[in-house]
Amino acid sequence: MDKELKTYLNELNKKNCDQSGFTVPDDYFEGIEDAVFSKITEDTLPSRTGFTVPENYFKTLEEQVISKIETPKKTGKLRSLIIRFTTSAAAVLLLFFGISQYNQATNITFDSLTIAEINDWMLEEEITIDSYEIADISETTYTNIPESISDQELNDYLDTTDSDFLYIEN
Amino acid sequence: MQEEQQFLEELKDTRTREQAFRKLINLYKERLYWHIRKILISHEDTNDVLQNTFVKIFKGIHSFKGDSKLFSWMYRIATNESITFLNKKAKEKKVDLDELKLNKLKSLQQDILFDGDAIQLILQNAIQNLPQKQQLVFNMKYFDNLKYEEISEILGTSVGALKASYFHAVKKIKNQLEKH
Repeated sequence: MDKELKTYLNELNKKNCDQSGFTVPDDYFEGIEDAVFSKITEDTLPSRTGFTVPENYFKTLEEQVISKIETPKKTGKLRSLIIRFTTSAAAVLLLFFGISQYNQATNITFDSLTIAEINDWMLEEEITIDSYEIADISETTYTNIPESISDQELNDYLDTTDSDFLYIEN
Repeated sequence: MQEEQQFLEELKDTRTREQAFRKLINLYKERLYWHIRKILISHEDTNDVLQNTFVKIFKGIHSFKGDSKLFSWMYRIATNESITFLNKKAKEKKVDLDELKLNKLKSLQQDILFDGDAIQLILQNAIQNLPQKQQLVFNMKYFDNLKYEEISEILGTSVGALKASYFHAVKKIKNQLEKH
């Protein structure tokens, strides 16, 4: 080796510059064996699943989804019409059978309302709140959550609870 | 990122949302379809869940705050919808998940929408026999070519744990294939 170059390298070593300065992610060398094994095995596996789709499936999908989104509006209107009709009929019957009782003053509180009455009111007023909106506006602090939940209880809850509530936070 | 922000605004704006949503369906329909199909096996079930997934995306887009990528969020909804669907099916049929998967695999052999050869069938068998998390990680890494960071965002699991899951999944699959 050229004498001048040797001297230069010795100088660098003295200045602790014998390292490249490159680093690796944490635990990189611990995981490399598994990663290589996985790569080697991957090469022996089929690259396709074998699943196929009906002809033109993806071409018609967009319209199918859009029609699903538009459907609830129509149902809502129909429901509303039915409710308006039944509400009117109920009002006529109420007038016919005893208007005097209707005049009695009643103090309505939230506790005195039944779930069915609230449902009817929401349908009548066309108030539609889905779980996303509830999650969006809810700042509730849940105080009745038990301190310890068994695996069985948790599994039962997950099995019976709509997924809306489980993944709503993004 | 700025493009995604712009797209999100279009999706949330009532004047532009239908057009933007059509664009979103076209952009992601195939990726989400194949992701769901690999979990549910049957095309009919996949079609139901895919459509529900898009409906939920449409309804939920206003509550999407952009903490994760739109794509990861949609993948997460598709994954959760698929798992919920499987659990409901198992409950309806009064069988456990393993038995449900076994029945699905049995019907796969007669499925006209499966053109895989014997090895592909063995591979699907091996994948379905994996624990759910390993199954998801394997499918997303091996077939969908997602990065560990992306899978981590979708499944909410650390990259280290995902690497371990993938390694175990590959090992089990290799053992299964070697038996045949």
